[in-house]
Amino acid sequence: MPCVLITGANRGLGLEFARQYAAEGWSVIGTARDPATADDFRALGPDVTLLPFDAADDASLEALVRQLGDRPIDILIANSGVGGGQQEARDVTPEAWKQAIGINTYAPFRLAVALRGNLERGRHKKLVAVSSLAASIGSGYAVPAQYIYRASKAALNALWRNLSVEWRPLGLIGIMLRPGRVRTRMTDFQGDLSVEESVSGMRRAIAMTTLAETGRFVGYDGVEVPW
Amino acid sequence: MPVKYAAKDLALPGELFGIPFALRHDPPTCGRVATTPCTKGFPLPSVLISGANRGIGLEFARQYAAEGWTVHATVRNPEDPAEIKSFGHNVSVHRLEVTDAGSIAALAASLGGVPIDVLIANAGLPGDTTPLEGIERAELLRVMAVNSFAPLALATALLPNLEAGQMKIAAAMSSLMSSIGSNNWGTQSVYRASKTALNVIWASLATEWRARKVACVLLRPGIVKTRMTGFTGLDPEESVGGMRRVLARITFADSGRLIGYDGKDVPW
Repeated sequence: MPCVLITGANRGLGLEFARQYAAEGWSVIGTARDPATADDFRALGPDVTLLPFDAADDASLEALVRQLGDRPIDILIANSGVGGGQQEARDVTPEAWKQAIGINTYAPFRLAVALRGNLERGRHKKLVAVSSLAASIGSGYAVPAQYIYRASKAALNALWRNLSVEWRPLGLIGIMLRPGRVRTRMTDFQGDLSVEESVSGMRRAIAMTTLAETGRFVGYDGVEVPW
Repeated sequence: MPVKYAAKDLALPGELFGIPFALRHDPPTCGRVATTPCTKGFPLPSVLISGANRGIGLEFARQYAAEGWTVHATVRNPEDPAEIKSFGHNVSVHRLEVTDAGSIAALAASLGGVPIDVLIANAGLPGDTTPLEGIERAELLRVMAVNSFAPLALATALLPNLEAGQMKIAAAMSSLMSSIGSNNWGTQSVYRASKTALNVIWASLATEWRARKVACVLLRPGIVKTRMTGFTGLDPEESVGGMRRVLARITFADSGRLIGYDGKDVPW
């Protein structure tokens, strides 16, 4: 069966991705910063593996990559992220900024780069970043006071697009996803969508994206998201 | 590099420069619509340019000084910009390290409440040549601190000055490389990410400052012959002349746009 690696698989969208892929018989590798919080993930079935991974820590990232070794990975879903809080321009601190850029922007990018060989050995060859409508300028997204989160996700899109363009000759397919406003911890469980609906939609978008569409930004609803 | 313009070439009445800012009232409308100097009795606008010691920043300082604007040029090393001081007595040079909150606060304090009509957040780090595989966390954080975060910190610190000005324009130097939709060739991951992040920050700032009537715009200089590009492309005079024409036509309705030196919008 194919193998999917999902970061931040202990709760929210990550856990639901794991649940749905496991239910279809996929081999699922999930990561969590604190493995003690991942009991729900472990209960998903026999072919699920939990590995520790702290996106803020390069040594943790290298350890994860070492543990995966040469194992083929069909789909990487870089899902783990932080919210960045809400603040007016003058209250954006360099500390909060660095933390969010490190976790939301650098870590997914670095993980994809480090796992390029694993993805090339997989059959699906898809690298997926869980982005956000907040990354989009062209959509007219205007929720105020999200400087840090928006910057971290827009920069993630820029990097993911670059990976997609540069790796196209290798047959690797880059996808950025908009989950929609989902009832998870990050939205204080306020939202228009259940995690099941959002993740089902995103899995469909992943499955339908071919190499010809590499580097696209698509929503849970299958609709292309403006940059 | 030859100085193409000098303040002395302009037949401006010298006393204009002595008028206290508090006496300023109506906007110098001819300064808004053209790049030619206003000589009708109003003081000319003022501009603050970060990273004015070389390249595009230096050329902005040169051209605005030549038109008689009050120019605040910031540089990292005040010993550096001998050339700026030759642009005229309407140019003042300030020390600024854009990644240092203390340095930004010191600049704001030293400016006091003087009006700044146009802020040009120009200081930035160049595109990288590091291949994807070699990009480290520290490098991404360093470049994004300068190219994405620092313009926000600078604009925020100078908001009272912008609000005291007539034109109320906060401009940041973006790039075609910021455009994800145009990216079909890859390369320069870190630089691209930093400029894309700058774009979204400036778009957010445009939203936040709507109530304050400060227009937040992004500029694309084009490929200009500077140190950053290995001295290939447009002459800095042409690029900066084009961006100044763009700035001269900016109204509040343009807030949130990314406009090239050629007047064309750049796709996100």
